[in-house]
Amino acid sequence: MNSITDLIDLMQEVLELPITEQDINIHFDCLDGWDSLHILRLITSIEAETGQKIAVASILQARNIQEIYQLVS
Amino acid sequence: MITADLTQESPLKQIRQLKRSDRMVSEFPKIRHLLHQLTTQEDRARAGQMLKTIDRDKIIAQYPEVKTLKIALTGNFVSQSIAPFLVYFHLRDNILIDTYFSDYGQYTYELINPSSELYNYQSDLTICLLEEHIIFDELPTPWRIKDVQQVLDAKIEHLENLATRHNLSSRGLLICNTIPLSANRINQLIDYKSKASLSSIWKEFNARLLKLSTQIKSLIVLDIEPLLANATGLSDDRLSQYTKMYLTESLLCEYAAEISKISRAVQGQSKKCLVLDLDNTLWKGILGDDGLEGIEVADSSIGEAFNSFQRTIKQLADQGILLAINSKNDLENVQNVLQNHPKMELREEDFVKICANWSPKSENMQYIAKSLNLNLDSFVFVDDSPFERELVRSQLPKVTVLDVEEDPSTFITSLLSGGWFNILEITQEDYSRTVKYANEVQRQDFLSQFNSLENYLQQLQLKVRLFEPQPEDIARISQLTLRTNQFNMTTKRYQEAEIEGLLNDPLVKIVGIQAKDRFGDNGIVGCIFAHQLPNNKQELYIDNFILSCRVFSRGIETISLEHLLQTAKQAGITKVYAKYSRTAKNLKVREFYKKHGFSIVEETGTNLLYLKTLDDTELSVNSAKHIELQANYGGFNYE
Repeated sequence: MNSITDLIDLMQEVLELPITEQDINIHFDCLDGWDSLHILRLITSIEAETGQKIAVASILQARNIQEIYQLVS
Repeated sequence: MITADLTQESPLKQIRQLKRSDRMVSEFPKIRHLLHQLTTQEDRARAGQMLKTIDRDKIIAQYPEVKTLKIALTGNFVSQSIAPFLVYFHLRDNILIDTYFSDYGQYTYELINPSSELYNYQSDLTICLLEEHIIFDELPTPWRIKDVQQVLDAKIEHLENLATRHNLSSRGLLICNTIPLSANRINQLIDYKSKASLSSIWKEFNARLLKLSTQIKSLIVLDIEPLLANATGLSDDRLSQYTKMYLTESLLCEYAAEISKISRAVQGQSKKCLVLDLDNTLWKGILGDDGLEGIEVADSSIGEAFNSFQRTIKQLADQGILLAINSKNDLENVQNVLQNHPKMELREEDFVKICANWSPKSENMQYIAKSLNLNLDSFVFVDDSPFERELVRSQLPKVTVLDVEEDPSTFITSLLSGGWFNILEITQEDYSRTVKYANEVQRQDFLSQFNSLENYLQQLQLKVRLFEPQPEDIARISQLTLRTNQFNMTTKRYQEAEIEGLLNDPLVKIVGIQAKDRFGDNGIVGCIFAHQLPNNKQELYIDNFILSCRVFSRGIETISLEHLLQTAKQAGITKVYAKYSRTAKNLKVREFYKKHGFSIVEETGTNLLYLKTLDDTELSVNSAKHIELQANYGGFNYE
């Protein structure tokens, strides 16, 4: 995960949501089509993609895409 | 960008591009083809996620072969992660699913309350996913073995209650699983005797759960262990702890694959015939070059692998799966091996059709399908040659072509892991199917001796019995509704519990049809479903009429219908309505009722309603003079 664009690309592919760079600071509660299951799918996919374990408890606390990026970069 | 050659991209990328360019509906057959090429769990999850939003109505309108199925999910933990896998595996098999998820922790309430949201949803399948928290959440800390025993005893009773309630409240199936015991629980006990005791009472509980499925008709209990053996693990500590997703995505993926096999059986898509190549598929070597002595079917490590494969095939054949040969070989050579090779497990009589010739294999497949009177989508084809597989796959996309690897030791897994032949419950009819089809081939040879069909039928000594189904016939009647696709007027599928319910309904009449002739007993080959209204004794509704494809065109359908009409007339019935619903496969019986004097009174979409008025004019009775008829199914004078 070299840039936030990589994360956005991955989210688009894995979650099939129309996310763009403009959405990175939007709270998940306000993100169109977002639900709590997306985060589960995303965790598994990031780990499959990067081959590294991520801090699940912290990811679950993240409020937006920017915060997730900080945890996985 | 979109016009770029897609074939260079990975299957997943191709699916994504089809989605982004809004071609999911128009390119649906291609998407299905691509889905079959996805092998990793992550790719399957992503594809499932992508296809969740596919336009259901358009797919249904454009592709009549696509079936729909409603699946309700409940259980004792967060299990929504199974959804993309369910979408993936079902769509791959031409089944579009609609899903309902119970709220977290609601499974007891949802299953016990007949007016719950779950029951209102009216699913075809209800899946209740269970794991060990269902037991351990109720234990004190610290716990002892006797505490576990107590909770297990209470829980099995509870689950039995839920399944019984479901059996009464839903027309669909309930699927649950044996509960896996994690290492973290066993390892909390430090001595080996106690570890063994815990495992032992746990396995007893699971055994009792499995046994419930023989007792409750609509219940299927899946053994979790074979699924777990293919998964990467039971649970992920982090996801379990922080999100209550207690089973891994990998295990849920295996679970979803198993569910899709059940769905195929429910939808009447179980495969019926296994077509096999010979050289390097059933034995090592090329018969034409190596001769009978040169091929290997035992006595070497490679030979043993082919021997095991043959024994596996024989196991399937015993349960009613028809076997046929489709091979580039000279027929005499093949017969010689089947009759005389000392080590062959499969023999000439195990096959209902042997095509050993030099025609293209796709033509042979069509010939086999025609002579067995089965649709091409009932066939599974196994051939070691990638060329032949691709030929059959491209010419006959309805045939399931298995991608076997080169090494024969892997053939068994390739044959079995798809569960292509799975059915819900086996019946006596299944065990003798090969004999019945072999009789059928004899009949065809016998037919070729006659110059007219009439002449043939007269010599056939056909005996038909119309009867009221007894409890022991329920499984077979249900199976007829599930398996029969061609002579099936409405293709309404019934589980056994539903048949049982109908038999107990005084307003409903099910007439079983049994046939035998000089070549053998065909067993129960058909049935008619009819009902009357509580306040109108003059009208009869024929809800469905089903006849196995083995016995078409012998007058059985005519004599059965005529007898039913005659019996109805004697009971004072004046109007008989009959329903027909068009499917991709039952077009040939669209005119059946019309040919027997019915006329269309209503046409809505794919549904036709026929009517025959039983007035004073004489009904034709027993126009099929070549049939000896015996009827004992009671009348229509309900009280």
